[in-house]
Amino acid sequence: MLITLDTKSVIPIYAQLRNQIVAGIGRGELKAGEHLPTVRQLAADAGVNTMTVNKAYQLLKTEGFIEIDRRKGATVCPVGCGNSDYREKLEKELELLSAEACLKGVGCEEFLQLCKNIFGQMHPTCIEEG
Amino acid sequence: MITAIMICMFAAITLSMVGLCGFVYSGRDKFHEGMILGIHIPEDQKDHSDVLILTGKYRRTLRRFQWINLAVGMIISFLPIFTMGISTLLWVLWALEYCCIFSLIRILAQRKMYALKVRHQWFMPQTHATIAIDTRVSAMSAHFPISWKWHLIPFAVGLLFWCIPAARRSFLSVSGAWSFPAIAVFIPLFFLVLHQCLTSRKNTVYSKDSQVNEKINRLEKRTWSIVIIAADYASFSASLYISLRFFAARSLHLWDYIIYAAVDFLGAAAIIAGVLIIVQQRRIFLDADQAPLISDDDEYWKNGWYSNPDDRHLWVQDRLCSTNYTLNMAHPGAKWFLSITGIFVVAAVAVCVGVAGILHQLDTASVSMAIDQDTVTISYAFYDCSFGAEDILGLRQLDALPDDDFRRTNGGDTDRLLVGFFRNGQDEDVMMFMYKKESPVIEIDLTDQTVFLNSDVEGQTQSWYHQLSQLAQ
Repeated sequence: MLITLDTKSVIPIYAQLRNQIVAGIGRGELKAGEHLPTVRQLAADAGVNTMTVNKAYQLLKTEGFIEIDRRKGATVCPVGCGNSDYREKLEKELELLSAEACLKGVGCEEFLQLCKNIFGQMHPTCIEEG
Repeated sequence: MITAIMICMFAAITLSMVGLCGFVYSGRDKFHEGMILGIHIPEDQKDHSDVLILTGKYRRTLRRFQWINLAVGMIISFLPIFTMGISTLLWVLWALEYCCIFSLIRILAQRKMYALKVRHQWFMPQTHATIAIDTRVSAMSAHFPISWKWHLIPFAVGLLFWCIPAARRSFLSVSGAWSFPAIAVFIPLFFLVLHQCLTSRKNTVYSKDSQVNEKINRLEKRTWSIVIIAADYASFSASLYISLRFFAARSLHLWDYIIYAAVDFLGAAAIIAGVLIIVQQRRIFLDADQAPLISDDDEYWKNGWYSNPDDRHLWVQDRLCSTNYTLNMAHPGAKWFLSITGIFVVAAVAVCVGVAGILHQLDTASVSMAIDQDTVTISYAFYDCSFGAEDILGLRQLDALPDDDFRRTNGGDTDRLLVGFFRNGQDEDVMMFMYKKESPVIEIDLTDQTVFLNSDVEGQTQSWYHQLSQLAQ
């Protein structure tokens, strides 16, 4: 999977990393069980501080997208069921997105269609399937 | 012999320097990897009239510069036939001029190309500057190079010279001989550091196809690791050979040095072969790539060098030569590095000028002897020797220099003469003011040293011998 970081973006680098890894897992570009680069290697390749990558990895671990093993490094977790905390977070983010779409003149049908199309691109897979 | 060695050395470096620069930087005026002269432009603009004018001018300038410098460099390489000092100075100045002007031509062409891009607004919105990482390649890149641990074998063998008391004593007992086992330890360490630097460089994303990225990054890291290990083993074998030869025979002959240089050269040849393989294979992989990733970070290269304050790397892959590194000028370390390098370059040039001056004096001076009352002064350039008549213990006129193991401690040993301070086989002090091809030779035994002298003027040596004989009586 290719990660592209924009150093001029207002979104912090660690958040860009986190978001793209989540999107990659969702699209099936990163399969469950697949190894991610070590913190040191990813930091070296991205030209950023190891703390930045570490922060992104810790966030991903807390959210259950990856697991970090001292020996094996970081690996992508199998798809799990969202818990109540996550649903609450999803509702809040959808509320904000819906409000923005509504204010920018995007209709309900169009908004839902857009969501459906993007959701349709998500095919999380396990490494055995690939 | 020394003249021949100097000519061969100058000519070989001139040929390899001009040849390698020509090979590595040629073809940059053609559209490759989305760039011309190191600047990204849309492919449909590669035949734009302004681009063709600029690349044509660059090509002609570079070709003319290369041929002129090759000719000048080769002519200077043969000047040691006439004068060693001036030719050394001229060659150093030529090498400096070549490096500076070559860089200037490249930098100016890149700046002009970027100005052309700005004037025509050839910016591609879909290729704005981003940092790209291929997670699959990054995750497996630790397995690309051959392990650095291979350098530990020659390092351990080199250390053995210092750990075995008999060997250590043998090398330390002769002045300067400690350098042979020291080199045997230093070389593996140097190559180990180089190995780590070259194989831990960041992985570069060339394509949206991860297989292409894997192939190129694996090619680069594996090839570098192999050639560095090969160069280490070649250099180590050479220094091991010369150390063992010295340990066994207590002296070295010309053939030992020739074998040393030949084996060492194998390592250099391996590195050159590695660079050629990387350049060639990389080009093949990229030409076959169906999904190249073009990230337009030209704004960081617009000055002709790389300057990106958001990149924490001090060294980055050179845009015009992928096997080379260039400094990130926006990094604070770059200014320190350039300052220190600048000081070293100035110091090296100053040393070369000094050496050239010394060699020039040795080339042009002549042996002179003056007798003032009962004090004799013999001089050649900046070497002189004074003694009184009462210091002369013995005086002889010889057909040639005695067959002894004279070792130079502070002096000159050229094809023409031996001058300065030496030690003989009995480790006694000797001063020489000798033209090698002239006969006879005067030997003066003094209380603290022996002096040998002669002249290249017909009859002068005999005249000096006569004057010294009268003084000694």
